[in-house]
Amino acid sequence: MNITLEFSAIQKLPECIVYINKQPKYQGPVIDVIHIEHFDEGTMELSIAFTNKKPEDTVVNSTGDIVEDKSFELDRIVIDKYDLEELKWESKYQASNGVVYNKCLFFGPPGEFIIHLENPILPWMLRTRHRYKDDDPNWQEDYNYYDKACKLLEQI
Amino acid sequence: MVLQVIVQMLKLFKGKLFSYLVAVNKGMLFDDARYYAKYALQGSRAIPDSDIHHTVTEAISEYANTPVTFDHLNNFVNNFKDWVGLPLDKFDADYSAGCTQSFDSFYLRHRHKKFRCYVGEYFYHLKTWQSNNIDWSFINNKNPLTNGDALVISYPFCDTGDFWNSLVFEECCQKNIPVLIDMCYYPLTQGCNFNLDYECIDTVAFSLSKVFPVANYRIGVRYTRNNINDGQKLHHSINYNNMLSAFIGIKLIEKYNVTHIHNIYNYKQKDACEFFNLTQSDSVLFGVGDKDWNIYSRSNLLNAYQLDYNPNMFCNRICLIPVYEHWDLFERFKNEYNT
Repeated sequence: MNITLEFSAIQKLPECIVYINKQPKYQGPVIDVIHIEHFDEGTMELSIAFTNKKPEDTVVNSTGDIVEDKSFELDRIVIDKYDLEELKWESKYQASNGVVYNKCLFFGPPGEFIIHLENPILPWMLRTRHRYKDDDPNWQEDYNYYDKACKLLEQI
Repeated sequence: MVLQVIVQMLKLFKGKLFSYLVAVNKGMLFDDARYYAKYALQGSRAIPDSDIHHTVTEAISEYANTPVTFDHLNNFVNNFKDWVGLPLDKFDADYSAGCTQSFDSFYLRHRHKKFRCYVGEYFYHLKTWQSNNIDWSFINNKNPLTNGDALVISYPFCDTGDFWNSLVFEECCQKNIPVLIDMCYYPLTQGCNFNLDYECIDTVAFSLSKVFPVANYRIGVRYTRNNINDGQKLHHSINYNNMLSAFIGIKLIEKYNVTHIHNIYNYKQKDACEFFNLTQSDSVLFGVGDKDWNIYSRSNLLNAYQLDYNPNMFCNRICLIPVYEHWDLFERFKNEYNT
């Protein structure tokens, strides 16, 4: 699977390591777009660790407001051409101090963004969407057709 | 046979699988593929034949460089009778914006009558009558035709694309019921002998929208009795019609005979119907499916027209255009399935 991570609001050269199932796939500066690949089918944990955040990176004014910080935001996760869209919120941000922020795409405190996905991604997306919205009872049947058609096209 | 076994094991439906195959072949992701597969085998529209499209494009270009005269408009209307090859000499011909203008004119002229049609007739009638509080009802055993009705009927029949035999015209003559015959599917057939001598026949409507990919140009011809003078006939007599559309129309009927599309696609229709277990329609666009094809019932069209009827009232009229458009893919699919 091809995974594209799109970031924004990148401040003060943050660095990260992107893991799949604890295996590092990218290590370096946070840039607008990071591409990684993963080949094993089944469940997978995608995590993005914020690796170079130090206390002195955060500058506050006399009233305690942050005026400068090393930080970034995760905008989009696109896997095999499918934008996870709202499903990117099916994640948590586990700060190094132990605090867990659910549905957090902002990399402020040192810590790690974690989301549990599956390869292939499409059935996970359809199943997860239906679990929340309860509006797509036929997703499995239609996915079977789509999946079979994709495989058949390679074959004929 | 491997594919056949897989299809049976997974309880997949061949028609739906083929629709998905076309969608995937077009490069569609899941949501688009799903939408395509839901609608592709439904409705009725002309085959997007590239040669005909080229003829239309050339006609438009030529029209832009042609001094505007009424000749093309009159030629189109006057020559249409010979093109369809039906005995329409006893009728006056005028231009019609598709069949639809003819329908509207018929509704208006017979507005004090009760409109009648058979179940399966074109949904436009139902929608128009309902939306305008026009008195109407389906014809059935409990509600037969009666004096004071006006009948709208398609030939071939809209629900299946098939020709039909019935004594309805005799009955309409006896009961003094004016009849509009919608013949928009006729150029999709190999033709037939059709007796248009019945006095009850008030209007015969033709359109090129189903046979050629020109639906948005609204090209048609209406035939009415000599004593009928309405707004549509007035428009024709004062040359107040769509010249470009008539120009395209004359170019099309000059180049292609009325059975052109049927002759090209008839063998493909036969092949596709055999493979998908459909009954071949007299109109080359369609096959008619049994209850296995209920997923391609009229439910989507009923929703589009905002009509509240049980889809099971209607035949599963399957539009074969995606098969014709992707004939090579269909043959590969069929071979894989049968191998």
